[in-house]
Amino acid sequence: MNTTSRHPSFLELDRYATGASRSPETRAHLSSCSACRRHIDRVSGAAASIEIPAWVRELATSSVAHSAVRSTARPRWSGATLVWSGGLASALAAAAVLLVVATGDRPGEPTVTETADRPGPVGRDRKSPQPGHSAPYTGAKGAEAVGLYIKRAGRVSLWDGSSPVMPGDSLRLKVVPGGFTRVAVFSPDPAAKRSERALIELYAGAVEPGRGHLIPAAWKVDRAVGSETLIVVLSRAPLSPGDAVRAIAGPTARPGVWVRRFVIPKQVVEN
Amino acid sequence: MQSLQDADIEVVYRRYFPLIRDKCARMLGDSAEAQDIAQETFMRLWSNRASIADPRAVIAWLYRTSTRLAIDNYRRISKRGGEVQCLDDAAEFTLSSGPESTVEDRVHSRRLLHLVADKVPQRELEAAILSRLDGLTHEEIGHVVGASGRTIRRWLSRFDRRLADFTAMDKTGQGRETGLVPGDMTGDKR
Repeated sequence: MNTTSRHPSFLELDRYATGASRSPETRAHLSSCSACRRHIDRVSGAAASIEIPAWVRELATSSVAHSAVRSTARPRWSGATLVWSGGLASALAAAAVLLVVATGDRPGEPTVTETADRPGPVGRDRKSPQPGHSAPYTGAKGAEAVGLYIKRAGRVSLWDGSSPVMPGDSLRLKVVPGGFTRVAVFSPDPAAKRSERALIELYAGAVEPGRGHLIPAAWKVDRAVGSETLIVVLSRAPLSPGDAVRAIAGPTARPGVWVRRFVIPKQVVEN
Repeated sequence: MQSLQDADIEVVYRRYFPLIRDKCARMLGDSAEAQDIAQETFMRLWSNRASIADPRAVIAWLYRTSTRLAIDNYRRISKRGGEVQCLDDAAEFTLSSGPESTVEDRVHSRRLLHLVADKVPQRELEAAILSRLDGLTHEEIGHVVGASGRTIRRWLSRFDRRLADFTAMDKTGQGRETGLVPGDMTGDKR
């Protein structure tokens, strides 16, 4: 059954609105149809007045091949990679003055790999005066740092280091790379048989030293029982998952890389 | 028209994002999900701009990508359960069509799509959305999804039959209790 509408399709109207179609039939129809003209006006009018959001600018400055995110299997994360803006932009602006984020391992400093794959707050640093303290670290501007943002029901907030996420939440990272030029995000591969530390690459790309970068990928929390783990690695050269495994395998991060592991408890409510 | 490869991201955003947002709102209403999927669609467009050489193909690419992302969303919600409102008893199991459809038509259609999303093959759902919500002809749908107009006609016929089965089962109260599997969903591989 074909459509019986005498109107052009939205596809044709959108092509017309963007100049991809100059169909005389469509032009003739528009001269007499206010409903279709309204659509053209709405799309064209919005194009003229729309503001460019922060995530578009971030996308422009990122040299990351976003498709690489999706080319990798992500068994612990469900659905499409999503992004959002709105409240996030203001949250990030506030974070620019005083970074209230999780900080990572430096070579020669205490590592957080001891918390590997255990549910609980992030960055249970040995230097912490209260091991297991749930408050996130407060660091000086300019140091390497990562912030984890959670979007739930349209609201974005900085993760407090202990609150559980829920299925359907979207997670997104902001990285301050210090002097590093590359960022990669990994997640443990639960299907890995040869090594428990096998990682799946969720994202990889270049970053500009000294400025904050909102990672243009985000991940939706699935319903699988257990915590979620994100491992952020800063480096000066691209890292494969194998390189990353080796880089974070030891008791301390290897020279030339900086690692932050987020182990995020998850609350799954059975229906 | 300037190719995407050579265009500034802000120019591309101004030209295409309003229609992506409009398309997502037709499929998902004025919701956070619609905004998320519109953004995701744009990000994918930007990431894949090198592979879309012909600027005239951009709109078809956007329709295909956003429709598939919306179907993923329908299915996620359907699997989660609880968020999909039942249709009114008096409502017909039909999808509205094209620019002339009313807001009520589209609300009804979105509910219906949520209800059947995980019971209908992806390509039939895709064709149904493009046909009934966006008003595309069979030939236009074929161009978007890469199939012939005749194939699209067949997919839509099957979709309509499944809706008819769904209607029958729903009226007897079977559908929502037994895990509806209407029609033959295994024998229609292309």
